[in-house]
Amino acid sequence: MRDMTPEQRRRNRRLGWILALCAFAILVWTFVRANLYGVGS
Amino acid sequence: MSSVTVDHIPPHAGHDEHAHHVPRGWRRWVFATNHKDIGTMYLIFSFCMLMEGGTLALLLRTELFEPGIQFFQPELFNQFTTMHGLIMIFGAIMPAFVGFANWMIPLQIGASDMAFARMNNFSFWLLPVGAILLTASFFVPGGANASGWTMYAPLSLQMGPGMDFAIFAVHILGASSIMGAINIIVTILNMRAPGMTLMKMPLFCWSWLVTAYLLLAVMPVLAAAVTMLLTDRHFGTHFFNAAGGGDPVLYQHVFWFFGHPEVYIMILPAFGMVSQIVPTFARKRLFGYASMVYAICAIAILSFLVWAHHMFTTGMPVTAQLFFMYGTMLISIPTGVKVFNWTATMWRGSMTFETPMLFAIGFIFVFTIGGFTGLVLAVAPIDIQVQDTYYVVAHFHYVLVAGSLFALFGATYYWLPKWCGHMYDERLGKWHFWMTMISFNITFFPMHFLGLAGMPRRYADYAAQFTDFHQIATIGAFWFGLSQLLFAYIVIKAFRGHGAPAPANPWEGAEGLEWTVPSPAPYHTFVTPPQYEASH
Repeated sequence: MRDMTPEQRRRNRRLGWILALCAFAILVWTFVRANLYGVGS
Repeated sequence: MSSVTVDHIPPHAGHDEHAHHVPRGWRRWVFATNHKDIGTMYLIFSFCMLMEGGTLALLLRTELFEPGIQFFQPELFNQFTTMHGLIMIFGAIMPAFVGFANWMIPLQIGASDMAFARMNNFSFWLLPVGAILLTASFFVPGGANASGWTMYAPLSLQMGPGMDFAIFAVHILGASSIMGAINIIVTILNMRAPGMTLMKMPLFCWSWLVTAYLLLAVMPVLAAAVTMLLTDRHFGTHFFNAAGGGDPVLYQHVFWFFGHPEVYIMILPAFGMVSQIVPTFARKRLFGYASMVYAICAIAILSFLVWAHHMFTTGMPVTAQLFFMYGTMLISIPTGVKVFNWTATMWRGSMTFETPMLFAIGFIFVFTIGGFTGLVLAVAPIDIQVQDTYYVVAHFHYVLVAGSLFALFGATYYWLPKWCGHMYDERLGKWHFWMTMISFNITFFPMHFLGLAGMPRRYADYAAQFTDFHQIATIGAFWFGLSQLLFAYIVIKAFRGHGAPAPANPWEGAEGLEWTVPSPAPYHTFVTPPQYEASH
């Protein structure tokens, strides 16, 4: 988008990465929790 | 919807010198980064998937018209059932709401576009890939996934390659949803027009903000669940395989930790849409704006705490049954707040009944019936009796069809003038509403009786005692399906310019930034952020 300032882009990217990391953490957490009951037992 | 008046909008806020630049040809769509183009593609895609899922539903109803096996063997029938569910949920309802989010959120908050325009393009183009995978799975050895849309283990561990197609499709569609959710959250939190605080935001944006957080929280859980299915099937793990020390019930827990919030992912944006439509045609401010926002948040939080009400028959301690039973009942309180507020908004309003309002009122009326049957199902001893019967099928179709789909139809008619610059045919719109409303009830209301009498879901054959209600449901289903062709005709007719030119605000009682730009909305809007000032 042409109208966003560099500061706006930085803020957007920062929040976007934080949210993406949260999603990834939930993915990993699900595997870890399932592993406690399933494949490792 | 915030009950606001908007002023200090520059007269040319809707378009400026950039507005003339519109890409041409196929590149406009393949490389689209404009939120309106991407929103349009989402909506067209979701309608195509609605037709595909609907065709599968009609094939199911055809087989069920009479007892005995008429057209399809049970294996194929189960494939149709499964793919109908997956296609409708991941291909039709969810992308349709994302399409509305793409079109309307930037317009409603005064942003020039979504925060991540290229990622937006990628999110969309993942969808056809997932859809092709799902559809193509019919043609692999063993056919498509036939384990039901829930893909329960151990059945899903034993199926052919069609299951792998479904798993991969769910991965792709899930990745698309996560990227879409990130885009929506960042857009709403970072790109609102000056003066538009969160509590002045239109309720459609609020509902989508909360929905996007739900998506972000639960789609990775689904991705993990189906990945574990994949590794159990092909890579020697035993997450869900009892013979290897795993637990099939674990899959159900993980799946429904995703699955129950998913129900609200498919209904919260519908709440937002109805909250926009009702005040417009009641010509009153929305009753209890703040309580509507808090109700959405409360529903979202509670949705994480009730997943095991889908699993009462798996066996669980009485205390757990009580927890999930009462937790589920608790959701009716914020939901009741919303129904009360919509009704109170209409109370003594100057109401008119254009097509969007008909669908909104239809939504409130019929969705509430679905909510009440949900309460019945929340009661553990009753749920155990009607588990996996047509009562459950009736319940979730009242919520998903009369809920989500009715709101989508209403919102389409509501915002169509803004999209195409022409009014739709009001007479045909009303016909579409009444045909949809009547045929929907003919299709799904008898299913309550079937379920209470013991008719199981996902069965191709049944005892003769169920014949009458099944035949009524099948007749209703074909009527319902054909009614949607009328919807397509109405929309195409408006887009082809057959209808009165729409002014910037075609509705007398509509408020919000989207109505300050011309109709159709220019290709670039709010390149200069508007100053948003609310009177309340």
